[in-house]
Amino acid sequence: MNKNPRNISYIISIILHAILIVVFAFINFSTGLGEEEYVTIGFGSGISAGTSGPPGQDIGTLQQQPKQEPLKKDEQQKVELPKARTYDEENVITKTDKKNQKDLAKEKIRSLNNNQQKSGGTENSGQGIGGFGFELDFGGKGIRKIYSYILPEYPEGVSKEIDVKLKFTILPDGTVGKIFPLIKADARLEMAAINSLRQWRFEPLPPNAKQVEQTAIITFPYRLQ
Amino acid sequence: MDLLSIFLKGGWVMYFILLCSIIAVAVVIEKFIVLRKAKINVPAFLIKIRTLLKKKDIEGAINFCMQERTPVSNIVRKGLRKFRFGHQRVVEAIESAGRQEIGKLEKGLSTLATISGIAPLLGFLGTVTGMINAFMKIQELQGSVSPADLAGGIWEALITTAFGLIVGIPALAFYNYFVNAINKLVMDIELITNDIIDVLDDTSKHGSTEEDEEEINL
Repeated sequence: MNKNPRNISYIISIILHAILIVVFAFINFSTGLGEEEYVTIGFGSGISAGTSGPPGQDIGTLQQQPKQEPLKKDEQQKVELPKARTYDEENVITKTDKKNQKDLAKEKIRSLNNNQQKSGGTENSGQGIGGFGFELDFGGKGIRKIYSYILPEYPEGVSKEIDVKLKFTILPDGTVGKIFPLIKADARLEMAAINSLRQWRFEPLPPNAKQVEQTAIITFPYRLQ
Repeated sequence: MDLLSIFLKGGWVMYFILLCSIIAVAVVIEKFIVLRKAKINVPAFLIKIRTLLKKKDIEGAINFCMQERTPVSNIVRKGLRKFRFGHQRVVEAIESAGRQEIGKLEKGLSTLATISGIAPLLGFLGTVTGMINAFMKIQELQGSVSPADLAGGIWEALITTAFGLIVGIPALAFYNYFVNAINKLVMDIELITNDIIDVLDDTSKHGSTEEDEEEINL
């Protein structure tokens, strides 16, 4: 009478542990870092505007740049003054200066996390050593560094000054996934922005983090000169 | 990174912890089965057996105990078998049967207690050996290690402690639960056996008087 329950219990125990081991093989353990759905994008300093940064280059992140916030207003004013030879001339996607079309426009990147944006969202602006200014408006917690980016060229036959706002997902391997235009404006400008954005490369997620697609919003302001 | 590869990073100690876990779970399941079988409805059992004993139907009471197949009924049955040898023998038989049954119930509990103590200690052993390995590697690298290397060695070492505690904590909880449950059962056994001894006393006294009366009547 006493032997039976013992044998049965040992068999059940071994089966339970075998099942547990199989389940363990399928449970991914993540550290919970850098896996937020909405992310801010860390821009690098030391990359000359319009060129792709070398892959794997150590890029500064937002946290390193908040001190430059006061520059924001100046930069915005300078954008409107085409005669002035400022950094921002190079930062605007111009129709006339086609050789420098790759130069970075003022980039606005912000996360989609609206709740956080309302409460704790901040705006950052900064200036890379390469001579481009950018503006970041973020509310997300996670940060994905940019390894390489190509700026859109101003398509021929278009003379519009609009902001192309794109929402895009960053895949776990660092490539750009789905891209959705948020403001419908000009199809050609939009296509140019989408085509360039598609070639951007971000820092891949660490292997122990949850492999999720992250969402961000970027604005390409097209300006005529 | 899946949990299985994390588990395997713990090294050889993890296999001992796994073995502890298998034994602990087996003991827990066995105890649940045994205690479930040992559970008895005390008032119902007492009413039934009292009725039989008052009728002086010792054989009927023994048969009823055979049907019940619980530790309490086993004890009572063994006591009733000695009814004809007198009150003292019945008490002795019940006491010895009680000790036997309690021994059966408590079987495996010491294993559970040992595992609840040993599993965390095995975990600590794994952590200490892991730490020794990690620091030996750091020394081999002449101290040119990044914090990431250091953290890597340390978290791998700490896994064994985590798993040791994962096995040890439930084992301790179940041990206490079973000790409590068995104590309760022992109290039930005492209650029933005392009651039955009293009833048997009464029956034998009444029985003898009735027999005398019958003899007189005859």
